[in-house]
Amino acid sequence: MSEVKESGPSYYFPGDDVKLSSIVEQGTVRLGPGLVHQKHDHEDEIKVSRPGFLHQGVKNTVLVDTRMKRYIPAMNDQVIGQITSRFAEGYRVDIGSAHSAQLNALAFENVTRKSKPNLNVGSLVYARVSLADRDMEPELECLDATTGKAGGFGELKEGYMITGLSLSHCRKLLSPQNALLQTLGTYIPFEIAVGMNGRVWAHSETIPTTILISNCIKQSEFLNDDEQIELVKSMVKNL
Amino acid sequence: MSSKLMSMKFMQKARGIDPRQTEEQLSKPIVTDEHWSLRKTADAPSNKNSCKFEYESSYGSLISKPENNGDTQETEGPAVAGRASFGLFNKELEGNQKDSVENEENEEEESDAPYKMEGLETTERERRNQERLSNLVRGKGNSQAKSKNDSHKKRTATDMDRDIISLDTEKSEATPKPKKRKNKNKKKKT
Repeated sequence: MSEVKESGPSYYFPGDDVKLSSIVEQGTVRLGPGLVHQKHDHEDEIKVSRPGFLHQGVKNTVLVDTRMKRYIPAMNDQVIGQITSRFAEGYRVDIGSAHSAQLNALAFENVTRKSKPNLNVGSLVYARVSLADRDMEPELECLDATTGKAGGFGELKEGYMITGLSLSHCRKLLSPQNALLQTLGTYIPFEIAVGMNGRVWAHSETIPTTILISNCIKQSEFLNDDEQIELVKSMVKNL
Repeated sequence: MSSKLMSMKFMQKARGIDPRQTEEQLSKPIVTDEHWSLRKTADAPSNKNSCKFEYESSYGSLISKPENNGDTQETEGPAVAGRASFGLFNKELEGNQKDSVENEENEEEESDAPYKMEGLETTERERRNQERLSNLVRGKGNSQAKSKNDSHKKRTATDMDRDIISLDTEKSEATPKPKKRKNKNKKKKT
C-alpha cells in the first residue's frame, strides 16, 4: 500500500476516532456538531458521529463539516423563515425544521405593545434562533443577542429566496471574503441574506439579475474559488 | 446480677464508665470517608490527562474568522455576518461593511490579485454613482440659478440693492419697467 500524502483537512466516517494528540490536551475541548466524547478503559476518546471533514478552530474547538440538507435548529443560528400564520402574540414561522418556529411579536427592535410590526402571511424574515430544543418548538428573535438591536435582522422585503441548498454550502457563503459573492458584487449591485437553514435570500434591481445570482449560488457548491470566478464571468457575459 | 441492672446508669458510673460517651458512640454514623477508600490503588483512574469536554450544538459560534488566526477582531463585518450588500444596493448595510472591511484590509497582509481588482472596481462603481448624483445636483443647481435671476428681476428694488454701489443696480432698476408693462397688458386681456 503506497502512502497517500494528505493535504488539507481529512475526511472522517462515523465511528472513526479522532486522536487527542492532534488537539491540545490540556484545558477544555469544545466539540462541535458531529463529535461525541466517550470514556473507554479510563481513556478519553472522541468519536465521529457524522461523516465529513474535520476542522480545528480557535480555542480547542473541533467540528465536523457535514454536507447535510436537513436543518436541525440550534441556538444562535441565523435563519430565514417564512411566516405561515399569525396569532395574537406573534407569528408561526417555517424555517425548514421538523417543527415550525414561533416568533414573538415583541421580539423586534423599538417595539411596544401598541406599535407591533405588521408582517403578512408569506413574508420572509431574517431571525436568530433563541431557543432550540429537540422536545420543544424552536423560538426566533429578530434581535441581536448582545446588543439588543435589530442588527440586520427583520423583514426581508421583495427579492427571492433560494431553497434546497446544503447547510455546508450556506456556511461557506457566510464568510465575509467569499469569492463568489465578491465577484458577483463587482458586476451586479445586489443584497443578500444567508440563512443557516439552507436558504439564501437575494434582491437586486431586475429579475434577470436575481435569477443570475440564484443560478450562480446553486451551481457553485462543488467549485473552488477560481472556478467560481469563471462561472460568474461566463454567466454575466450571457446575461 | 442481671444485664438490665448492669446497664443502669448508676451501676455504670460506679464502674467508671461514662454513660453519655457510650450513647454517642452508638449514635455516631459508622460510615466515614475512610470507609470509601479503595484498597487497590492500581485500579484507580489517573487524572493526569483530564480534559473537560463541552458540546456546541450550533455551527454559528464556531465559524468565526478562520483566516485571522490569533487576530482577535472585535469589529465584525456588518452587525450580522449573514447579510451583505454589494454595489451600494443597501446603503445602511454597506456603510457598516466598509468600516470593517477597511480595518481588515489594513491588518491582512495576504492579498490575492483578483480581490484587489474587485475592490478597485467597486470604488469605480461608487465614483460613477457619485458622478451621476453630482450631475443631477448640478442640473438642479443651474435651474435654480436661472430662477433666482428671474426672481431678482421681479423683485422691487430694496434698500440693500440701493446701498450697493455698482453698475448692476442700474441695470436691475432698468429691466423691471418693461416687464411691468407686459403684466399690465396681460391683466387687460384677462
